[in-house]
This record gives sequence, C-alpha cells and structure tokens, in this order.
Amino acid sequence: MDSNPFWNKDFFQTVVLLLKRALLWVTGYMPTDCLVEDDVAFLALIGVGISSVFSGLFLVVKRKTLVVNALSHTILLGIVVAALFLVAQKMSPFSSVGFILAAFLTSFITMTSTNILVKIFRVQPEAAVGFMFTTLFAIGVLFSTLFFRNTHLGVEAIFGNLDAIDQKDLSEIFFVAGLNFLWMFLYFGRLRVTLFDSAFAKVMGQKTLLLDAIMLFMTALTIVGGFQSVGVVIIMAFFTLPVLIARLFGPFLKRILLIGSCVTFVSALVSVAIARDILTYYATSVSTSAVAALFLFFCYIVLGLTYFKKVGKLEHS
Amino acid sequence: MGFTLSDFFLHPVLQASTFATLLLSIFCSLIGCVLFVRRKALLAETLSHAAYIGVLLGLLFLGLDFLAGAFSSLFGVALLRFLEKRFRLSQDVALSVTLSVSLALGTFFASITQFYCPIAYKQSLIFLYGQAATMLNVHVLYFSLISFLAILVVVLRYRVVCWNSFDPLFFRAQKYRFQLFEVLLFILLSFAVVIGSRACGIMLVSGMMIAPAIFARAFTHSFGKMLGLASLMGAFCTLVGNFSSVWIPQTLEMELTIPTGPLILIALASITFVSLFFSPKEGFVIRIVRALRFSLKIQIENALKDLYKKRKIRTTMACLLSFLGMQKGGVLTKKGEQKAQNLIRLHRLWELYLSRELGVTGSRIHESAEEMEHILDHEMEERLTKYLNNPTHDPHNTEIPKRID
Repeated sequence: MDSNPFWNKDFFQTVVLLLKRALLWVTGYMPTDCLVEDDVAFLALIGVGISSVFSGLFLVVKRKTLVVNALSHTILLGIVVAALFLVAQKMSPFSSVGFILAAFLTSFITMTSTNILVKIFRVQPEAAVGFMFTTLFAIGVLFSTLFFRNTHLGVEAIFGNLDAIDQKDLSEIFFVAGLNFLWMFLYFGRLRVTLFDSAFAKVMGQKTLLLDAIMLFMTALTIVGGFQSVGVVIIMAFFTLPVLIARLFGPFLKRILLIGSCVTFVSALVSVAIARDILTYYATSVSTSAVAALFLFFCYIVLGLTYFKKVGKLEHS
Repeated sequence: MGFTLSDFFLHPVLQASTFATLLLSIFCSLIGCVLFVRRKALLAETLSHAAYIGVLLGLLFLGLDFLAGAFSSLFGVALLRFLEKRFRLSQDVALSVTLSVSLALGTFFASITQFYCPIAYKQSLIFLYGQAATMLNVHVLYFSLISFLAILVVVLRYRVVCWNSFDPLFFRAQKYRFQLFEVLLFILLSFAVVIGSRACGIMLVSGMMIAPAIFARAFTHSFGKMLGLASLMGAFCTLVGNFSSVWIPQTLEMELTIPTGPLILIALASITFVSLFFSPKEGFVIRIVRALRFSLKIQIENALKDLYKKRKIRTTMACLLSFLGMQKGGVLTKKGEQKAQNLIRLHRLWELYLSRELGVTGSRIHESAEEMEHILDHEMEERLTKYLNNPTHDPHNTEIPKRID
C-alpha cells in the first residue's frame, strides 16, 4: 500500500497527481512498469472512452445506438468462441489477434442472425433484435460456464472490473483506440457523405454496405476492448453520452468528436479521483467505470437543462 | 443427491417453486405479447436493467426486493419519458442511455454492497442470471399471488388490452380511463420484468418475454389465441430450463450451478426457430412450398395453352400433362381442353378490361394478362364478364371463347 503514491489522497490531490504522472508517462520519464492501479484505470478509461466516442458518433447520429446494445450482448459469445479457438491453437486469447477475432465473430454473428430473422423469417425488426441478442448472450453464458467452468465471466462481463486490468491490457486498449482513430482519420469524409446522402455516396462509387460492415466491426472491437474494464452495459453510456453532451454545443461532426474526447478525458479524471476519494474517506472501493458513466449522465442533464434555457431548444437531428 | 423430473412436481420444496415459476412465466409471456404487438419489444430490456438497482436496495434495506425492483423500473420509465420529452432524444438513444445509466447506478451500489454486505450482493447476483429452483417461500408466495392477479387482469380485461394496443385513439375517444389503464399496464410490465428476473435474470428476461410472442405469432393472427399459445409455450420452456439447470450438472458430474436463465432462453429459442421454420401459416418451409407450387402451376398452364394453340411443348411437360390426364399423344383431352379454354378466356377478358376500362395500351396489356390468367379465379371471372357486358371479342379482335364447366 505504501508503494501506491495515491494512498490516502483526497479528490484534488488525486487529480493533480494523475495528471502529473500521466504526463510523465507520456513524455517517457516514467517507465510503464511504474504505473499503479489508479494510473491504469485512468488511462484505460481514456482509451475506452475515446474509442467509444469515435465509433459512437455515427451510431448516435444515425439513431442506431441499439446496435451497440445488441453487439454488447453478443460479445460474450464472440469472446468465448474466439477464446476456444485460440486456446486450441495454443495461443493466448488476450491478445490483439484474440480481440480482432472476437470482434469479427461478434459483428458477423449479430448481423447475419438478425438479418436472417428479419428478411427470411419476416419477424418484426425490433422483436428480432431483442430476441436474437438475448439468445446469443444466453449461449455465451452457457458456453463460458460449461467450457471454462466459470460463472464469474458472465458477472464480470456486466459489471466490468477496472481493478483487474494491468499494463498489458492497457496496450490492447490503446491498440483498439489507435485503430479507431485511424479509421476515422482515413474514412471520415466518406462516412459523412454516406450518412447524409447515401444515394449520392453510392453514385460516387462508395461501397456503403462495406462501410456499414466495417463500422459494425469497429464498434464490436471497441466493446471487446472495453469488455474487461468497463463491462458490456456501461460501455453504452460511453458510446452515447459524450456524443450527446458534445452535440449540445452544436451539430457539427468534427466538433462533436473533439468535445466528446475532451468530455471523456474529464470524466476519466474525475471518476478515478472520486473513487480514490471515497476509498480514502469511507474505506470503500467503488466501481470506477460506474462513477464515470454517472458523471457523464450528470453532466448531460445539468448542461442540457442550463444550456437549453440559454440558447433555446437546440435542434436534435 | 439426484433429482428426477417428477421431483419438480412432487418434492415438497421444489413443488412450490415450480408452481410459482409456471405462473410467473405465463405472466411474462402475456406481457411480452402486449409489448410485441405494440412494437415495443426493447422496452422490457431497458426496464429490466433499471430493476437491478431496486432489487439491490430492497435486499439491503427492506427485504422486499421485488417490490423495490418494480419501483425502480417504473423510475426507469419516468427517466425514459423525461429524456424523450425534455431532451427530445430519439427513442433508441433514450433507451440506451436509460439502460446503461441505470445499470451504472446498480453497479455503483453493487460495488459498495459487495464490501459491506456480501450476502445481499450474492443474493442480488441471482437476479442477474436467474435461479428458479431455489426460491424462498416468501418469493413463492408473493410471486404466485402477483402473477395470478396479473393474469386475471389480462384475461378479464382482455377487450381493454386489445383496444389499448391496437386502437389507442378509439380507446381514448371512448372516454374510458385511458391514462389509468396505461399506467396499470406499465406497473404490470415492471412487475413482470422483476419477477421474471428471478427465474431468468435481468439480462435475459426480455428474451423470455418476447420469444413466446414470436412463437405464437407464427401460428396465429388472432390476439387472443396468441396470448394463449404464448403462455403455454412460455410455461413449458421455463419448466424445461428449470429442470435442465439441475439435470445437466448431474449428468456431466460437474460441481457447478448453471443459472436457469440461459437454459430457459435456449429452450425458448430452439422451439421458436422450429416454429419459424415449420409453422403452417407463415413458416419458412411452407412459403417455399407455396412458391414452388405456384411456379409449377404456371408451367402446367402455359403448356396447356401452347397445346391448345397447336404449338410444340417440351417432353417433360408432355409427360406431366399426360400423367394428369390432360393430353394424349399431343392432343388435349376433354379435361385439358376445358382448362386451356378457360385460361384463354381469362387472358382475353383481362386484356379487354385493361384496354377498355383502364386505358392501358401496347404490349403491357399482354404482359399483365400473362400473369393475371394464373391468378384470377372463377368468381372474379364471373364479375369481369358481368362488368364488361358479356363481351365476345378482345382488343386484338380475336374471339373470347366461352367458358366450359
């Protein structure tokens, strides 16, 4: 406990210390081995949050956030199947390859199964989604119980556990964030055109279907990245809330990306500090990711209520 | 210790929980049907996640976990309304925000509870994936009571539920207490969600509510029949899941408990898939069979027409026709001639109708008639004849043959 520099710090001390240590780490003065739990939680929240903002932006504007819900349930099955395959190949399931395989399986299974239900069996779309992802989640839980003899996997999948991740997981999280960033950097224009005028995009030779599929894959990858640390349900708050908060400041996609990332950064900082504060004064460890989600929600409500009054009703597209 | 199937009905401890599970699954299926026809299937998903925080707090302070859970899921409804009205969020964004934020709140309190009161935390985990066979007596009593009352409400007020779901405007115009009933339905929904979670878990309870509705919808178009079928199926699958959660570890000789929820859902899903494939009305198989039958009918009828007009037809079709007794040695039999002549009559009548009454011209007349001649039946032909004043010649000035019965 003495080795942890955050020991017995209150809220403001933690904020300062987090920023300082993060800066030291980024500039290379502090080696990765020296990162302690709080640092890892802070950096992981930033990584997961920024990936979520990047892949959440178009989903929120397209009103397809329930895709995240569906994917976040199927993810368990994807991870279990990928892990089974990789363990059989004598490879570690917790690696970049494992992540990519799991994400691919998840997005593929979700998309095909829902499409089959809607197009071939003609079930109404909402019911099809609701039915399909719960079923796939059930299969995932059953598999994880039977093959890994582990009922905790299911519980951790829901709650997430920021304390359980270490420096190695951090590199995977930043790998996912980097991929997300690259994807947005390269394809932002095409995605924007596809979003607002898909007919025009098709005429211009964009493969809209492929873009949709990749977007789904990136979303799944983000959820796989956040699966351990944040949990599959709370990550939906990370997908939606920063984008919603940023949208209060104006309906411009790039600005939303920027403000959303800043909001995520602040929420990561504040939530880790709050969790540390509670630990110091009440000797209780609380779930940091839950605090982050609640903080985001609080910000949205407060900003929304005050901002609405100032600039009148903002048009929400 | 070994359990057999009969123990679930005869063993004094299991008997009670089996009974309660049956009732609650019927209750959930009924509410699921109502959600399904209103196209609000995903509402249950959100409300079930909102229930967790209530269940947890209830376990900590009151002991009445399901009551508190129902309250908190009603609170979830309020949050949803607030986000939709005040913040003008679209429905799906509002649903996902409510869902994740309410579970975040649950997670927050769960992490505290885990520290101070591990027993309550462990009990709350049961609501995550469900464990039906180990219900406490209190639960059995209250769950059966509430489910029974709710089923009674739906059955006795069936008309009102129908109106409310299918024609809310009419319902409102009747000056029936619309708002009151809507609130009552939401209360029922939140109870269904919480009570269902005890058997199936908050993550899966929405599937448990929706799947029976999808199953029943594949068989019937009547709402009443749908309710009945869905509740039968829901009850059956819950029992299957309940039993296999005890039976599978026994057979595999593993020392772990498999939660009931996933098993119930897998049972439901497999039966639903079978029904989607083989249901006699809109099943996948029946639709393919229908399409094949129709295309075969068209082939046969086209061959008949060709023979009638003394054209050559393929050998396979000739064999088929002679098998059906419609031709013999390249000449139509009496039965075949009757069919062919009626077909040509239909074709020309339709051409005349298109050109005279609808003013369609050109080759489109013929193309349309080529398709319609296979669809029009005897009754429509009679009406067309009457409508066109029993015509004798079509627009190409060829004769319309008389009908042969």
